[in-house]
Amino acid sequence: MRSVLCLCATILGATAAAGRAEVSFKPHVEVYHSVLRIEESNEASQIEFMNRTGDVSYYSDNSGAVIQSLGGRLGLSARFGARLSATFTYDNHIWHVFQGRDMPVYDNTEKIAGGVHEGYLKVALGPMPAAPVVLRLGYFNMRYAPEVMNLGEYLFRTGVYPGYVLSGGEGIELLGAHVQTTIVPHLTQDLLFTSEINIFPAYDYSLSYLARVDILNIAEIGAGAMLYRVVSVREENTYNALSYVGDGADTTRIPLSGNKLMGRLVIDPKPLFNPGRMGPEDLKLYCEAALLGTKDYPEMYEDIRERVPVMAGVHVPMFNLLDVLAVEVEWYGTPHGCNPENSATAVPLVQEQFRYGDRDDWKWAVTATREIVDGFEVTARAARDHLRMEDGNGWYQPRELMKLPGDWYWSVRSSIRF
Amino acid sequence: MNGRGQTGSMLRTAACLIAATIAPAHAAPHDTAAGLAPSFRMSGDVSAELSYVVNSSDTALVPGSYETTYLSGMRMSSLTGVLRLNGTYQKLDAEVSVVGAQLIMPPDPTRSTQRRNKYSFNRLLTAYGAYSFGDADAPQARLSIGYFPFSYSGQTRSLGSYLFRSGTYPGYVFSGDSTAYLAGLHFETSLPGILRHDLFLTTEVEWDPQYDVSLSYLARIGVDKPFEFDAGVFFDRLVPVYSFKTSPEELPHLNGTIIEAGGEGDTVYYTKQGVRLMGRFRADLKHFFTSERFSPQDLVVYTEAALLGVKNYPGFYDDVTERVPAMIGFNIPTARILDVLSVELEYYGSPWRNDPSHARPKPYENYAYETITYASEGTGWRGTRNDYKWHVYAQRTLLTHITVSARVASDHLRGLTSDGSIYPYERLHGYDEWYWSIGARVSF
Repeated sequence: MRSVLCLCATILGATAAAGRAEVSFKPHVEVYHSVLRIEESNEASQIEFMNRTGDVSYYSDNSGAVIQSLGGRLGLSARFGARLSATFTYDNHIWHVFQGRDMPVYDNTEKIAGGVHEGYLKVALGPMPAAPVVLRLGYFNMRYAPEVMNLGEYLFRTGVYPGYVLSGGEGIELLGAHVQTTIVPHLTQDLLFTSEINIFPAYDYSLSYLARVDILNIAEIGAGAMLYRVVSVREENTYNALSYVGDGADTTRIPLSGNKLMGRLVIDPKPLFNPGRMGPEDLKLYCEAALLGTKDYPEMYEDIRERVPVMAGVHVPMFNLLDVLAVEVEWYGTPHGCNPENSATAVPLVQEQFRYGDRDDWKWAVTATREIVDGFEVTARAARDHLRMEDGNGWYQPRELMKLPGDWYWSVRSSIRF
Repeated sequence: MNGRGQTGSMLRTAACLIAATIAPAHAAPHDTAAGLAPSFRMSGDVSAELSYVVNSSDTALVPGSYETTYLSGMRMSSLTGVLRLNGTYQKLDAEVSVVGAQLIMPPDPTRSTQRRNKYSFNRLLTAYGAYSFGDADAPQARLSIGYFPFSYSGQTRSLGSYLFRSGTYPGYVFSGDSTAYLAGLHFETSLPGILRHDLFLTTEVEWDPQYDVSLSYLARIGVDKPFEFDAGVFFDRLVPVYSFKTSPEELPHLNGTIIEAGGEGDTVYYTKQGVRLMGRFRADLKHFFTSERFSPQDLVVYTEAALLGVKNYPGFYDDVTERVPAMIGFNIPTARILDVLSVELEYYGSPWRNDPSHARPKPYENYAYETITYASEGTGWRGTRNDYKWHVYAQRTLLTHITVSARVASDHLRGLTSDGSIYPYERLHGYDEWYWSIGARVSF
């Protein structure tokens, strides 16, 4: 309690000092365009859509479907003295849904999505200029494994009961508080208290801790734990009546909350030899594994191995022809659908259980990125990952589009940012 | 086009994109101006407009109802704000702007109980980056990528600007601000100095079928001079992404509705692909007078015509004159009382419905134009009485940043949808159907 009070007092002190400090502003702008083509997808044909007459229809064939997104972000960072700053970024973009052969010809698929991309307050605590403690409050992007280009970063991009996994190269936006400290040399620690805003039930609070230790710039070992939904806002939702298995006296209630564990390792052998013309990202090897729910439950969650996604990746040496060429593979042996919504129950949806067996356990992604000129970056990807369509509200539709071994897509994203 | 063909076309598009983006890397090594910080400029405007529909015969779509007076006497209003951020870094610059608005638009005639549409939205207005070749202060050429505005006819107040504000098979045109918003690439240069070239590779993001890639070229002589000649060509949907929609003969469940017999048992397969041509001329007649009583925009006459599809098809597109919109405009001198008082007149003899959302290459055959299963039966009364459009516009700057305007018009009034997109259907169907509006704008 005393530590918390000290922390609050320090923040208030920094804020008060900021009130007397001169305010400076720094804008930032980003323009981005991405085009994605699904070369093969069996799952996409299962997605329902409401046609013009109000009937439910299905896309019959989305192999060859194209999704394009075109947008911009404009933001402002305000600095109040040396310790306090605030950042706000607004995103707005044009996107589209699939155009399938069975879609009504009158449907215009253009969608507009706009909203807050990030908005947070940042406080630096401790001796300046390299403050050993940094606090972020608000809605912020979280990345703890910057070498990951698509698969991984499981601690915050997963859920439990049933487990699900997200993918992508931009980390994830979290709402809450984040304290990062580098007080111990070579050890970075993160403590987060975050609120769930994307998946029902909303607003449940989670507590997370991460630690990363750097070993001679050759290896980095990281570990983390997340008490997911440790504070329930409405228990009748987090422990809802739909989440029971068994009969009579053998009934077991499965909550939507649970504990997640994560471990990762990054090896960069370049300091061990003369890397010559290799780029700074070349030859990095990395892997990560997580346990999505430490507790077994009968019938649905008896085998702990089914709750462990694991990935490995390598940055193929490109000798500065590309900034990064990452090859990543993932295995996640859950027999259930990888569905974040799952009708808000901890019992996997019947129609998604065992549907694909072990045929959807493997994912892969090849990602190449290059900054063409300062501020202009192009990223290309071919993958069978956890691709989901966006929902227009800063999140994703729940169903994965890449399931079977032959499914894959490619995409090209360009961005100008400064 | 089969799946492999689509893949090839998309790969080619991607390759072009990558090639275009890699090229500047050789022109400007990273250390060209290392250490320079980006510079930013923020701007915006707030505007309000009130409109009143004096007369409209827009037909309510309520089943069984053919009410034609529901729009007459209807008021529309808009309160709009635009925020724009420009950034410049070395030879790169970027712009992102968003618009937020609160609107009251005409009701959706498909809803029998709805008399008024009130809604608000925010949406992307522009998002693009550009690279300048040569001297950054006086670039020899410029390549833009993203979602950008473009206008080649700054005098246009409502009618015209056909090259980028029209479509083919069936043809359609818009009215309103001359600016078109395009997604893709834009390369511009002046070579020689008097001749300005604009080359575009754009993708369709607004109207069905989406993503089709179009190539267009515009040449202008005399920009900012007393006399200007413009000519342009637009290869509409040159590279289809969803060919089963762009050229839908392979779409089984639409057979018989898209395909039209051309007579004598011949079957004609229409396509939304087409070539548009545009020619424009502007003359500033003040060049012949010396008077300080003219405002800069007075005495400017401008005219434009386009051909929306050079190819004839039997059945519905036999007559090339039906695919030619043409307009003329003149800025009447007001002895500096007004900034501009423009009068514009347009003729577009298409008998078909002016509907950009119509995804079929065969013209519309529904309520507003009566059933046209057989082209020889004609297009109904609206097909022949809405060929002429007119527009009168006045604008005056009161203070440096405040302008007020008024208009009286019978143009291609459509309005906006709840997310800020253009409502596809016209609201006025004859030269005697008109509206007026007044507006004010504050820019900063």
